[in-house]
Amino acid sequence: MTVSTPNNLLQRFFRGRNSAEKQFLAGAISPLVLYMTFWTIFPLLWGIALAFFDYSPRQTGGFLGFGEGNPFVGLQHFENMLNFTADAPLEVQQFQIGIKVTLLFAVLVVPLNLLVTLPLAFLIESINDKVKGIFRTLFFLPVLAPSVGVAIMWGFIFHPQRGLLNAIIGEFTGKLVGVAWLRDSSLTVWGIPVALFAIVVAYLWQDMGYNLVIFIAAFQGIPQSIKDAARIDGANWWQMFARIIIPLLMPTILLAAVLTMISAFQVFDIVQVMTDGGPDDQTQVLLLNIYSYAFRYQKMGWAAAVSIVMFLLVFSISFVQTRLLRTEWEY
Amino acid sequence: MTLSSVSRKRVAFRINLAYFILVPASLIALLPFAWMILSSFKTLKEIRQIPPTFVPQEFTLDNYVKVLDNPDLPLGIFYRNSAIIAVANVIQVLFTSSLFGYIFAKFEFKGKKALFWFILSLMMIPHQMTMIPGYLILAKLGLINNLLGLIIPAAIDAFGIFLFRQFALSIPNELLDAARVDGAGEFYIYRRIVLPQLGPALATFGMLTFMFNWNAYLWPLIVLTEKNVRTLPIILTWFSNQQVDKTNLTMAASVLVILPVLFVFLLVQKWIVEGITLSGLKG
Amino acid sequence: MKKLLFAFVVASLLLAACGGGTSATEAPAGGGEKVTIRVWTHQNDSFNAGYEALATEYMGMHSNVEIVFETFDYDTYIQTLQTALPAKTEADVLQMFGSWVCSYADGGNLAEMPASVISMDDAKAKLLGAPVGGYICDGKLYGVPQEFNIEYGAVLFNTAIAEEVGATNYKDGWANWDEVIEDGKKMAVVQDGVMTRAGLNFTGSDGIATMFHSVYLQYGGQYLKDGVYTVNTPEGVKTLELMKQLVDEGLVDPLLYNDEENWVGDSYFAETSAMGLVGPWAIPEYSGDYEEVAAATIYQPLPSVGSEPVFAAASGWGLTVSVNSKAQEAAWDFVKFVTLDASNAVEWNLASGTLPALKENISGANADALVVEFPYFKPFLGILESGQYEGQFPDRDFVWYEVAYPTVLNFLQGNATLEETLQTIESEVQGSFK
Repeated sequence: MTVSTPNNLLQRFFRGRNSAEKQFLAGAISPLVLYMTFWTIFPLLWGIALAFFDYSPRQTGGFLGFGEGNPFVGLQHFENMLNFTADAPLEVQQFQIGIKVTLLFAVLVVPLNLLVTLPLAFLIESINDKVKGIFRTLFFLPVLAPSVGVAIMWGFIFHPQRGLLNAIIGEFTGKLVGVAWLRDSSLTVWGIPVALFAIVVAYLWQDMGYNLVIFIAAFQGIPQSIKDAARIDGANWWQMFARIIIPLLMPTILLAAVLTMISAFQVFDIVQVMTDGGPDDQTQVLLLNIYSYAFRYQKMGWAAAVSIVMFLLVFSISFVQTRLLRTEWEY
Repeated sequence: MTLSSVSRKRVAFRINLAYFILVPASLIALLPFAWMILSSFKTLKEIRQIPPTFVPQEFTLDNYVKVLDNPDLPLGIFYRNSAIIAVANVIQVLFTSSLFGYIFAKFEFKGKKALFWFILSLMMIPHQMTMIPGYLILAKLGLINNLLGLIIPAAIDAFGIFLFRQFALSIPNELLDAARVDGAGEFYIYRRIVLPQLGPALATFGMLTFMFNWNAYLWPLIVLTEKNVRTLPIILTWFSNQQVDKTNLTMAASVLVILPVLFVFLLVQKWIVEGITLSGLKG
Repeated sequence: MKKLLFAFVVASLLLAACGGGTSATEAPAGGGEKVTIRVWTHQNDSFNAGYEALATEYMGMHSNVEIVFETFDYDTYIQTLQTALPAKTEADVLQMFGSWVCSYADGGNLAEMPASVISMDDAKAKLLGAPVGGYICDGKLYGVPQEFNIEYGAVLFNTAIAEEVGATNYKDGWANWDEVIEDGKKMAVVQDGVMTRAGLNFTGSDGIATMFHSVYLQYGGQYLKDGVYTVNTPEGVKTLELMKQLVDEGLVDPLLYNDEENWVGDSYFAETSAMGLVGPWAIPEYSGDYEEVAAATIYQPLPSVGSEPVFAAASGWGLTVSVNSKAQEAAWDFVKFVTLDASNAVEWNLASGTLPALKENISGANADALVVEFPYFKPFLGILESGQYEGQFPDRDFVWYEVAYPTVLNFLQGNATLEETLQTIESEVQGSFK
């Protein structure tokens, strides 16, 4: 189906210079609008609609599969999410755990990430230009690897019998060590499951290269005059770092923190490959819940409802991000 | 004592301290890669050993032979699938992003603000939001298990349009108007004048797009369920699930999947780093 | 702008709707004319070799029939069925695993078995209870199983290790679980508190789920009746106590031995487990790479805790016919030829290395032929009649892998009480029923 654009419509929308320009605009913008309607707006609306149906692709229904075998259930999925009783269905319990685990994961990842990348960026920036590149590349390398490969690697490192970590601990203790880092749900530190920490470690290892290069670039952006002035005032490296660089970089740091948080909310690959949500749902992040129920158990209505919640979560963070962006623009 | 000698001393001290931390830290960062590569040269017997060895006692290339010989694992096909998707998406995303970025920067038309606002707001919508309906649409169109299913819905990148708009804003209007006076067509202007001006941005954003597509996991996992259309990341988990105890084979396969492209990425690292820096500094 | 957008939305909605249900199976209606039967199966070379041999034979007898196979690898097959059936683009004959049949039948996608092919009573008389159970939904039959899928009832047993450590109880068959435990304890190896070889690895997902339900039946319980799932009972307590006893006696460390860290098949053949609870299908998968272990392996039947050696089984692979097929009559005739003729059925079992679903093939000449080809089948053929269909769950995989396995594993790892565990399983499984 092609939409023929009558000339008067052209006139109305692409008011401006000559007709060649109008044609160019019409030829570019109409497909864009059409494309986005079909591949963005339509799926969005469909996704929202799904959340109000008990939809499974196994069942037959009417228009777009709605109705009949996939009945309208109104707000029931959302009401279920608030069912905190012990006999709530498993997907509801896993969702509630998912919210907790996802938030916990993001809350762990963001500060740990900054705690590692900021000093590291500062150190790399402070050394000889010739070797600077080598170190930056080394720490950046994991970013380039597929996260699936990273997860497989780390899963093997954490293996209780054949893993590198237990072998290293064994070297020091002189005994065989068989800690099941990824499977023992009784292992916790400050109430946080060790399996989740293990995933945080793998995730940080892969993800920190991003912030590292951002911070290195930001350090380079600090005018040499400011650095020199500080040095003349006799500031040592710590004062330089804490009093001058950090405050100057605050907008970038905040932005990096928000970006890190948004991607942490959407963690999937590493978790799915390393623990698949286990042990005892301790790493059951939200996206895993969406994936499992939509594509393993065909409860797409439920999964669509969880997607909306996840969207709200990410959106609220993105909203903060745009506010930060705006302040930077003004600057 | 002169000022310069004080600061030189300080700098020297700081550099020593820096190396003191950086060298061990980078070794730790490389350890997982080393563990993977070393494990891929171990025999089945050695890899099953409890506790494990770090450096292979009996160095073997068997694992690579087995992986490359495995009729269930035609790596060439998976490399090809990954390449087709990544290259096609880079080309189309660069085209649409630069074209619409340029249009939003340099043209006025009714509804422009609304449209641009809409595209900006798309950047805030996580992909998961449209994952399920997206899958259902592809199923209705018969594009499940079809590489096109990963290409057709990916033609527009909101961030790309935003980014290229920022770059296009700095193109001088005089340049464009001069071409118009000379009677150049609008598409000609885009292709011959605007695109070259956007060159560096095309390289960085292109590299970034390639890397994201090459390493993508979740969406291909959903869309490409048939083995022969799978991409490298999904084939890697598939393979490792089939080979739980043959970790040596999984490690060899991982090396074959990760290292060659890692090497290529390293060569073009400059652009990727620039791209990430751009996204980090400008949103 | 808004109006325009709205118009586009409506237009694309209409477009999408049209794109859907247009295609259907293109098979000419019967009438003695040329008939094409499309058959969908999952990718399994030995299974499909069996199908193709029978199809060739059938086409030789019916010159007007052409049988076309399309195969999909396992994961794809499930997804393909799920998207194709509602869209009505599926083949005429669909290979199904018994536990899936009812969810598709309930969706109105499968054709009911015509009485002219086989009546319900005849089917129950001719076929073993566990496999055919999966094909009966609301009292109607929707297809015919070809094999008996068994996960519980016997274990892979490494006789070389038994010899080495002096475990001998197994030789005359285990009379009770104490004898199993005695052998298993001897065969387990623990070093510095780390188990390097499990005595009996039963803590994989299939092992835990089928053992839990089978032992429950053996204690005289009934976990599923009229859509109500009950396990929080004295039988449930005894079942979990037995499983926990195996852990406490040191036969297996569930932290180190589970699906994720040491999958039972791998672990058994890698000799980090001396016994493994897994179906007989595992042997041919591994015998190539682990000849030594395979040579020392026997299938050792497990004792029953009750008077009857009952166990729960998950039906098996078989054939169904699509309700949308334009060639239903021919399709059913082909299904009948493949599945209900005893010699054809056993021919397929021989080709695919599966246990028979037909009662007449578990003894007599056909059974002997199977044992010649697959010696490890022998202990199973004797117990197949004690198998019960595990029951109709809305989503069996969900019950197995999302509820039973993680919950019981967590209990065995010592992280939950017995009461909590039974309660959780009961309420979560019940919650999956609508």
